[in-house]
Amino acid sequence: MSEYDVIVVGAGNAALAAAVSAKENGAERVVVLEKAPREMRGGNTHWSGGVLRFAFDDPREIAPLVPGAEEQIENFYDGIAPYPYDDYHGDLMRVTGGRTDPVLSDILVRNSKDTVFWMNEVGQVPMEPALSLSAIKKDNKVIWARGLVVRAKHEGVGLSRAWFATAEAMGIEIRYGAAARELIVDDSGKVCGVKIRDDDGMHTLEAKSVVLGAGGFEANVQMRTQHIGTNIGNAKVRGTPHNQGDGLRMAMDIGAMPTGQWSGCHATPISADWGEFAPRELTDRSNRLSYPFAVMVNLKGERFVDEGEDPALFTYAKFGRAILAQPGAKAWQIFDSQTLHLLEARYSTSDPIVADTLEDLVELLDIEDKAQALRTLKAYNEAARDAGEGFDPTKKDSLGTHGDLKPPKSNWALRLDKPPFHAYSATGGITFTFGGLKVTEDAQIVGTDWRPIPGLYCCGEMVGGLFYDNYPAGTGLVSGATFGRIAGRSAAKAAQG
Amino acid sequence: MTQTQTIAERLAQRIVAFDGSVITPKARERALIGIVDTVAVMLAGAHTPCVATLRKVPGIADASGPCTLVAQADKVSMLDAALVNGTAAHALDYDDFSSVFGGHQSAPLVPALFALAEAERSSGKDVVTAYAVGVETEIRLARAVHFHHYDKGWHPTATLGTIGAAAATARLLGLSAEKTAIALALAVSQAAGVKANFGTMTKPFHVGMCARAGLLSTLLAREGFTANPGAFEHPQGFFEVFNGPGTYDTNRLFENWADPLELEDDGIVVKAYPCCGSTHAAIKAALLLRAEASLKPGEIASVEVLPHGRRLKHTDTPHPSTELQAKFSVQYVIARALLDGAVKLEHFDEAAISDAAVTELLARTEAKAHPDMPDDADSQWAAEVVVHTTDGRRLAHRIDNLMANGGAIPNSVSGMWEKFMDCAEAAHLPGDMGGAVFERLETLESASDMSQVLRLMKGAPARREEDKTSAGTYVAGDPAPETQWVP
Repeated sequence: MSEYDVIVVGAGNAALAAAVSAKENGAERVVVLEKAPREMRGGNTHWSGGVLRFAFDDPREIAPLVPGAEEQIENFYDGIAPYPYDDYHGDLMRVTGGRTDPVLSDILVRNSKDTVFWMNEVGQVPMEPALSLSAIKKDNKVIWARGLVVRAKHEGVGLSRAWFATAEAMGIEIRYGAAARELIVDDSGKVCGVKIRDDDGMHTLEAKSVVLGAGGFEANVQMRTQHIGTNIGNAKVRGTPHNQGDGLRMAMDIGAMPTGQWSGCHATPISADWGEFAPRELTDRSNRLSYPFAVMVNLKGERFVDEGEDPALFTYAKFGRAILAQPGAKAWQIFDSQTLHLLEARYSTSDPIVADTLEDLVELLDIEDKAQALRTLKAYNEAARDAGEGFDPTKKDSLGTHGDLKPPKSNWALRLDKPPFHAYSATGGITFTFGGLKVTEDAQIVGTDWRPIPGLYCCGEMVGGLFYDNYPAGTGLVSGATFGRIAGRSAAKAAQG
Repeated sequence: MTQTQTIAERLAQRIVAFDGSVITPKARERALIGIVDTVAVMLAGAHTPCVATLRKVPGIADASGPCTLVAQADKVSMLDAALVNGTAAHALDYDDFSSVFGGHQSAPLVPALFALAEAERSSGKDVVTAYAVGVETEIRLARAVHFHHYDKGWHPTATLGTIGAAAATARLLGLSAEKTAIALALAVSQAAGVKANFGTMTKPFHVGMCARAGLLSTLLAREGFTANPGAFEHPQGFFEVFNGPGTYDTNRLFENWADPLELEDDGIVVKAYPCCGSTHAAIKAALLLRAEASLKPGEIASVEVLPHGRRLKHTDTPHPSTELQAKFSVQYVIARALLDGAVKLEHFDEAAISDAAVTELLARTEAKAHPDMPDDADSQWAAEVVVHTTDGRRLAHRIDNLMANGGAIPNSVSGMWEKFMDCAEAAHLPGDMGGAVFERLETLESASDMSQVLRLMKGAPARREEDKTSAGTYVAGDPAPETQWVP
């Protein structure tokens, strides 16, 4: 007899949803293999903002998730637009250029609300309105971004803690420091166990079914370089250093089929202050997205993008890559004191370099061609504008640079002339990869022979085919929990069958 | 050990020789809980009038230095950080305490240790060990001088805390036994604080001063400052002056030193709710009742609160109208517990106290001494809460001894999450860093550089009210815009 009914590899949102779901669906002996030690547990979920995008027809449907919201926020439901299936699916189609997998995206969107309620009720994940992320105050009403009203209380940290607490309360065993190395397949072709490495060496754990929820390959420089390219190879990792593509590799070793955009990932400008991996305690606060109010120069002292082309939401992905293409994969964002109050709160996680003149500032930066940097800033300032000419940070203000400055700055092109001047470093940071494995509607992994592999399921970042080029914010966690829940249920059924 | 050694020297020897491996898993968890609890209340206390007033004095924390003032934008000297953060740690009187100590053992230690550790870039593991040394020193001293010391009018948190803070910081800095003894003797001369000032801003100020004094003792000793290592037993030394002849027993200071650690003592209490401790048994009963019955506020017809009579005398306040009255109203806190499933800091402002839902429930809430809990009962930390529901059910939950088996302290640091996040919210850290700070502290022993831990607790510069926009800065005409937030 197997030691376990279900082994879950990984311990982020998707994996723990799978473990809880397996237990809920009758699997008695469920173990979670977390490769990271206790203090690094929880995968990318810990780093996330905890935002949950889901479809609903009537804003009041969300009431049970956010008790007290109506008292806390005036006219709460008046500011929320319905976000029906078609809108959510339409957003997925739009940002992926129509390439999202039709079957999987339908499962995701159709189950999204039910998934979030299940996370709340069964997963015991407390939730709250995502006020600081997706709300805009307008007159006496708070207006909410479409589909993005609810988040896990205390963001990814709270979400991760809630999942672990629930899993432990349900009697699910969690093994820290247990790195899955290899899947064991019996003669019938069925996956029947996992070979692991822990502090005591190698062991084999037997199970009736296995769920892989081990994340993508964003932390693996070899795989990044190979699949996405040298620029992304140079990126810093914003999330867990443990997402090394182990699950993908293990599954492909026994014939799993890759699918989706293996050359794609979510990447954004982040601080260059840290090493290859941003510190865990900073969670998602490594982002450096207030560049529309800055001038960005590379180490050669040159500007290389139109910082004010669009709000950051529309430019971060390409600018993250643009910075990675610069010498040293680094740039400096230079602000003067008139826009400091507009910086995203996430800037507080690093200390800027500060000086009273641009000359002194450039002297303090690691720019190789300092003379060029001063020429660049001078040319910019000559083409730039005054706040009094119509600067408006709340919208594209068309306050662009004069003349033929190259590249231009099309909006918010304020002259840098109000000392002190502040410089923040920026590089490109990778969040997660889009390439994954082919799965059935039951989250069972499909082989390169187009036959499902018995006993093997996956969820989370490992599910391929949902995201191409981009993804709608708040979809990752809901997709993780949706397919985690399905994978756990399928694995439990298979274990009983 | 020789007969000629003084008490300070003997103590110093133990502090220097303290072996971190004697910290059992239970003691380790308790140490982390004490540190997490202190940071929580330090964050919550950072913006109190007490701290703001302290900072108005010219020369206090107005020059920059290497150390973080929690939840504030400035970095100041070690001594200023210990003073201001120490005062914040006790500003709400919401920090942990020990019945053996007769005071608050963590608040004097953590701010001093953190200031030193930030400047010296110490490891988290060394801070935890030094904290254990500090608690051991404080509470062993308390065993030697109590309760005469307490009854006489000294505030042990401040007097013994100063010496504990010197012991802890000397250990963290790695002073020799000789210099550690000097630091302890220096601390003796700075120990101060009388109970006459309880109930005023001066009580938390005691803690700030003792954290600063303990740290200053260590820093002076490091530089070669002199003091009398006989300062404890001298006829004009600590025991004779602060206690008096025949009122102390120095043997108890060294008896069973660190075996077991004082951290394992079940007299340690973490305040779970920001209100009078005499209401806590009833609150716990109400919360458990609410959870067990999945009770909804609308189902409550009436409430009976039945604490032990001794707990009710100063908490029988049926209709509180001020923050202080609410903290001493068992009726109010039970109504809050039943309505909200929690008793939090935010429940003690004027708006919350006059909230219609709560005043309406208070009208149906009655408190009286429990008929079956006699005055001479073994445990007087007991209460029962009874709820009559609108559909005629009678629900009851009784707590017989809140303190039993270490029941007043969580089993693990995880149990501190809710209190910590409640306190962190009050600190308004930029970008809601509370969760990250908690997780960093929860695994503090793996932190290699405390300055990186402290920087997570720094506050944002004061901003203009109109700039406090949410993430949606770009207002387009669209009534339901795209999110502007980038994951």
